[in-house]
Amino acid sequence: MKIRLRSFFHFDVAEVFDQGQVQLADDRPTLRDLLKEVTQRSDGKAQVIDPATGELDTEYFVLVNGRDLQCLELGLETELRDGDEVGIGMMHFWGGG
Amino acid sequence: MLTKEDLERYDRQIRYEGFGEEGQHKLKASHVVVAGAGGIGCPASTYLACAGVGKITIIDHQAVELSNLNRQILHWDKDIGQEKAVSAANKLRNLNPSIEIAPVTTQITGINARDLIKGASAVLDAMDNFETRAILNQACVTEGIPFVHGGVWGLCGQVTTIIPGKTPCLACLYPQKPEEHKPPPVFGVTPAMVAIIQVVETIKIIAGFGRLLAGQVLYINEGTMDFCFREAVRRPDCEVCGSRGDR
Repeated sequence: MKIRLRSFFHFDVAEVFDQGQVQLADDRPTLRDLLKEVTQRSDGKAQVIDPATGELDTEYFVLVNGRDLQCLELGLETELRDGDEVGIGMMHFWGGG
Repeated sequence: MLTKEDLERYDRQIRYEGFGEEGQHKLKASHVVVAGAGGIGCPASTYLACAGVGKITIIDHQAVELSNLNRQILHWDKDIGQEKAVSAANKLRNLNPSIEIAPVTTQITGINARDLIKGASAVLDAMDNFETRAILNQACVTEGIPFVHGGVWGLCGQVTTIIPGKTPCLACLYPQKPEEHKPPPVFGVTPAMVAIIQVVETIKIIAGFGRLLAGQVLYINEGTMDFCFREAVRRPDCEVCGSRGDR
C-alpha cells in the first residue's frame, strides 16, 4: 500500500521516501504506523510521535486527505487506505527578522 | 475624499470590480500597524503603501545588520546600523508621499502593546518570535482589532486571519510556546510570499470584499510547492479569547 506524504515543515519527504510515497504493509496500517515510519526514517528530523507519550508531538499537525487529525474519530488509530494523502506540518513563528 | 492624483495613482486597482473608489476611500481612511520591519514587514509595508493605506505605523526596535539584506528589501547597504523602523519609513515615504508613515522604534511589550495598536484598522504580524506574537494576539483580541498572522521557517510558512470574537485566536491554534531555533534558514522570497498574502487579507478586511483566511490556516512549502488549508478550531477554554480569557 502506498501513502502520499506532503510536508509543511523542514523535512524533505522526497529525500527519504521515493517520489514522496511511503510503502506500508497491507495489513490494515494506521496513521500511527505511518507516523512511526516517518519518525524512524527521518533520522530525528521529524519527531512526529512524542516518545514520552506515544501521541502526536504538540508541535505538529497532521492532515489525512485534508482532514485534521483532531477531527478524526479514531485519531492515530485511523486506518489508512491505498492512495491516501497525509500532510504533516508545524507552525512557524519566525518572521524573517 | 479621493484627490485627482489618488484617482490616477490607484486607477488600476480602482478598476477591480467590488473594490472601486469606495474601496480606495476606505484604504485611504485606514490605519495599519505593521509589527516588525524585517523579512515580512518590509514587503508587507511596501505593498500596503503602494495600495494607498492612509497611515502605516511600522514598529521595530532593532538596527539593520548586513545579514538582513538578503530579504529585508527596504534596508540597503547604506542603512546598516540605522534603526529598521526609520530606514523602512524613509523608503516608504519616497515610494508614496501621499500617505502617512509613522516609524516606532520601541520594543512591543505586554505593557505598551494596546497603546501601540489602539484605533488601528488591522495589525499585520511581522514579528520574529513567538512571545511578541502572543502579546499582539492578546492586545488585538482585547481591542477587537483584526490580526493578520504570518510566520516562516526555511521555505515554509503560514498565514491566518484572526477576527476577534469570530475566529479562533493565535492562542487557540498554539496554546504553548514552541521550541525556537535561531537563526533559522531563510530565502528572501518565503517571507515575501507570506507577507503578500497577509497584505491581500488586510486590504480585503479594510475594503470589505472577497473571502478571508478566517478560521483556517494556509500552509505553504515552497520547496515542494505544496499548499494546504487547515481548519482552525476555537478553543472554548482559551486563555485569551475563550471562557478563561478577558473576552
